[in-house]
Amino acid sequence: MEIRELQAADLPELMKIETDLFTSEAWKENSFRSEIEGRFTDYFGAFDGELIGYAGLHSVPASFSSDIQTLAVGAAHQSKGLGRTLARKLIAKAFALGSEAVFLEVRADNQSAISLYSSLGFKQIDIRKNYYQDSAIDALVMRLALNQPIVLGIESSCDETGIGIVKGNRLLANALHSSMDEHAKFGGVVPEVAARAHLEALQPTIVQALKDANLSMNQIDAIAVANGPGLAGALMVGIGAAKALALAHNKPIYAVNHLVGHVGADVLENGTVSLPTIALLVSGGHTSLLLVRDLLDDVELLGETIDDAAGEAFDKVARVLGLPYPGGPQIDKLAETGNPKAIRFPRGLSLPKDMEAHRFDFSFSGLKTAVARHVEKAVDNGLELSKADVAASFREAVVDVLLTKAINACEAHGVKKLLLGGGVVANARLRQVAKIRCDEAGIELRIPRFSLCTDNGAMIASIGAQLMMAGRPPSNLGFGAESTLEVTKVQTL
Amino acid sequence: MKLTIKTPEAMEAFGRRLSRSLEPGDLVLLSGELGAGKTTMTRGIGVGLEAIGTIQSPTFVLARTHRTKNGPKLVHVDAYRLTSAIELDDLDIDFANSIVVVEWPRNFLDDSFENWVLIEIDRSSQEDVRELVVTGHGPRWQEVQFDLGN
Amino acid sequence: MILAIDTSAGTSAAVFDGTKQLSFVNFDDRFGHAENIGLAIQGAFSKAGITPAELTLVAVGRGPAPYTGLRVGVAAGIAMATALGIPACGVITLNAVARKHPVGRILVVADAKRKELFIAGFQDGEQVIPPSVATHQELEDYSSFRQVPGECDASVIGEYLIWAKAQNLDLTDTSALYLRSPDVTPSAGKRVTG
Repeated sequence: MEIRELQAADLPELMKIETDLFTSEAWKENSFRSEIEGRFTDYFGAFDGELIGYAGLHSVPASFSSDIQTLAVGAAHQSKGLGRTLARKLIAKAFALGSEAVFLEVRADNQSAISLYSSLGFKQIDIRKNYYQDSAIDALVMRLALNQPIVLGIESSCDETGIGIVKGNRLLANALHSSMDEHAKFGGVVPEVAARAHLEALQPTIVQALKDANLSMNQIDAIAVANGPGLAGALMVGIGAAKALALAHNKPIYAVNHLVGHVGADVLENGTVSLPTIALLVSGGHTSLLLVRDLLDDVELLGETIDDAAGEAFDKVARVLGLPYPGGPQIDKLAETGNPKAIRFPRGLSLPKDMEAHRFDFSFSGLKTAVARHVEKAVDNGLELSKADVAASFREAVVDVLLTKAINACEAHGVKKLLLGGGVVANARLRQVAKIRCDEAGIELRIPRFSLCTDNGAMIASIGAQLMMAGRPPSNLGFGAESTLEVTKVQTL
Repeated sequence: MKLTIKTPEAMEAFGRRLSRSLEPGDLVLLSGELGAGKTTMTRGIGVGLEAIGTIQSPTFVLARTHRTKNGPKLVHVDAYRLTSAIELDDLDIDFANSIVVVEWPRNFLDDSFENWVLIEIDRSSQEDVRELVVTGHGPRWQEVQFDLGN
Repeated sequence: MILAIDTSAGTSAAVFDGTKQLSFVNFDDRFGHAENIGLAIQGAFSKAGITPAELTLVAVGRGPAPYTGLRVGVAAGIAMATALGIPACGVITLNAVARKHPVGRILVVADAKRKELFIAGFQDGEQVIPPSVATHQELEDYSSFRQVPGECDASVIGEYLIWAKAQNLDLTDTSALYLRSPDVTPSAGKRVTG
């Protein structure tokens, strides 16, 4: 006997059971069809050669709740525990989706169903009189409370220590200690003795996160920590702290991928991550294009930078223009009065010859050199140089190539969703052009709030929570930092 | 030794050939302006050493450590943003067991190093052309004949 | 009940009950601090037969030492103390090692890399040369001192802590100890030449 997701092809068999069991109150085939194909519904069938039972769940991510839509076992297969198996399947699914409660309605005269649900922990919370019109039977409304795991996540990339706390898909706290203000964070790290600041920040940031979540350390169910990719020395601080936090109250620990964490930010913003999706992650340290079909098991790197990250390109061009570090905000300010069409700078890896090997890769090195040469030529020949035009045109080139490839990826893979992440999301021009291009292409654009886009602990906690909710085993205690961790490795065991 | 590199592909190929002469404990310093091709050459070194993970600019992270298929680690450093000896200490590079390639070595080199190869890249003239000057310092490089070709 | 952690050389953890050492777990590897820190602490707990809830104090080695590794131990110690709501103390490794040689004129010497050394000098247990960086040449100025290797571990940290607390020394600083002064000046924005 196997349980799998229902497809439209199963409908004929399903309708036989449905009409047989529910007679006048049976749902129509069209209703089932739209349920099975629905975005927020999950329908399962039990098969023993043929279909013998089925059940369906509808989830509402933003309310952290689900509803059992229907549960049916063919007459010949009842009283064998199949109903319980199907119900458990739905509950597990609801749990994995982040639901904190599962609701259902059951006929007041359906004693066996009521007993089943009660034994699974459902409590009656209401009666809807004469709900089943044909028979004038009441419906009992029942509710099951699901206890989502509370996970504390640690993110220690180059500059910041981020501690976040989530409960399932729900954000409880996101504390960040950084030596830079938000605006300066865009695209760069101030190269002071940042590592020292990590340790000084550790305790106050942990305390702040717990305070914001109104929790004490022993109420945390698990610890999650980013063990890569990134600067090894910085990651190690987070790992040391995370292991100690886990040991303090004997909790499991999950070592997770920092880049996948950025996709996890979407879960916290919307209550669920909408899959499959293309994710464009752009920061000082990363420029990557991901195809995410399953957050835990199927993350594919479509392309990444082969030289500079986008944020670095901003820093280097700022250098060329004599602007202080970090470059992102400086370029933005200068670009305000510049003409983005003044100079056509190269869009790296966009030529026909690049399409085979580097279709979704990025290269900003040629762009950087082109800007440098443009500036030098002007200076050397005593020509007029509009730094504002250079800044605006450079920025336009970066935004253009980022979004062209991202949307290209959406179309090539038939995925109509694009998620943006990483600190460079602070760039208003990037967001503006993203919206325009996605609207044109009929692609759903999602950009989490900025505090979840930059490196933060909550997104790490989110991945840890997903792993726990899916029943995955925690990591072993001996994992280390991996500065070049592959994106396909979501968890290091 | 001096040589002229005419294309980015040739720069990468140079890096690959250079990697054949490299052993754990070696230090390669790449000096040149923005866009000179330092990361391109390092990419070639990475290919030659069968490094795992894409060779990308380490400007932001300061250093990227790559394991190699069968050999020592490759540590790729960008020292441009290093402002103090403390930060260099902080990187805690496992020199003895790694091949270390450093871009913008001015902030990196001090008297504690005895042996290194300095490659100065000049992108003066036409578009893709680079002039390289390769010098070995210290007893390690005294007798080494670079199998680098042109 | 004290948990001592040190990642100045290898990775080690030790549990002390009052003045008595109950356990000591050490990993010699000079580069696996992040990998080993959890196992060291967990091992120290189980060998001592205690639960973390019984701890009243955490002691961390502050170095001086190679910082990437050192910070792992300090981070773990701070996090453990925070999670348990107990205080954390910092111990300078050179001072801790000196404690094992309370008689005579001794110079604790540890490798500072870059051909330099971390040193601290003591006369009958009293510090006469504060922790500092010295070259091999400068060491000759201290020929009247008996040189002692500055290798440290959690056991040495713990024993020093017990002694220091009895002396009412202030050990509240848990920050990693940096002895080098920033001596490399940042470059001015260079003109990209043609």
